Amino acid sequence: MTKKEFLKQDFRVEGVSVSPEDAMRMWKKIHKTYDNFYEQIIKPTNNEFMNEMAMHIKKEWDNVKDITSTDAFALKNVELRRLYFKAIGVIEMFKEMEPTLVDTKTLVKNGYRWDENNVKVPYEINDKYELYKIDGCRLYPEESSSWRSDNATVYAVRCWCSTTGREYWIYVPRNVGEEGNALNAIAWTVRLNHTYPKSIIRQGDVILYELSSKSELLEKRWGREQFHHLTGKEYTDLIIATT
Amino acid sequence: MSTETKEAKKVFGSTRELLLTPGGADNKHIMKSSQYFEHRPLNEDGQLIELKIMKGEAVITHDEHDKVVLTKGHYVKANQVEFDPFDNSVSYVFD
Repeated sequence: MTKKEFLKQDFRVEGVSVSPEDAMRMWKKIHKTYDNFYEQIIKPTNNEFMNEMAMHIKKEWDNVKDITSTDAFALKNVELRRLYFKAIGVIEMFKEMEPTLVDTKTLVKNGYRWDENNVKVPYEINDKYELYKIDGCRLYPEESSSWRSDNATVYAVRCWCSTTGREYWIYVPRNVGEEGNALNAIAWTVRLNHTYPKSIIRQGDVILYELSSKSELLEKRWGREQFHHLTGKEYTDLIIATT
Repeated sequence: MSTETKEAKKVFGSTRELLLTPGGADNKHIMKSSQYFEHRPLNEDGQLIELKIMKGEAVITHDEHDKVVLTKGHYVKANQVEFDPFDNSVSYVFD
């Protein structure tokens, strides 16, 4: 395949037809390195044509320009702007766009950790959560319908690892964000597949919940796994350790 | 207590070491015990895992987070999730 033929291919990101330049900018933003891109996008296809495409992408990779929110706002094509926002990611979006702080909550309760002999020791859980939003009218200022504009508002909860202090931002659905409660927002990120859990332990992104004698696995519906996103009260009541 | 659906009746495996985030980095969320403990996946992607500790304790380590120790009991390991407002999907968070 010549470079000219490569550039004539139909490039699609998330099912949307885009130019080769836009496709490569988004892939670089999302995957950071060519090796990551190859492992996650090209390799799983196990396809000779895709490998040939990847050879051309590799040659261009270092010269592909970074994407910023300014680049996204310069796009008149709303669908492409949405893809750029997605590629930019929650951390950069919320750091660059001066979001509105909706709510702050600090969860303080008695919990525990484990000492060097694996013995349980009392430890005060003291976790702060902040709920932020970026109004849809700021992301899509040309939108004339207020209903559509409101629907485009995005919410994220900011939290910190209780071991390292590292900051995390996690998008939550609009209906959860609209409740205006940072604890409800972080609670939504924990979903359980069983009823009546005894307690919950969180180690970073891993959730461990202990089952009680009443616990049942939620039956699949229409062949799909069922789960329950926690409420702020359930999260507060059930969490016994965070590390 | 029932942890089985009509569709999922997978057999428990037994081990003394288990990576709790299959497909993730090898040094993250490793569960180890001096005693065998039972485990089985509860969903197709293997991220939902049922764990039964019959004896002793199991220690879950991670290169960033402090350890977690589980004692005798019946547990489930799940993953935190995040929403994507640009395609309305929900996916796992991996740190």
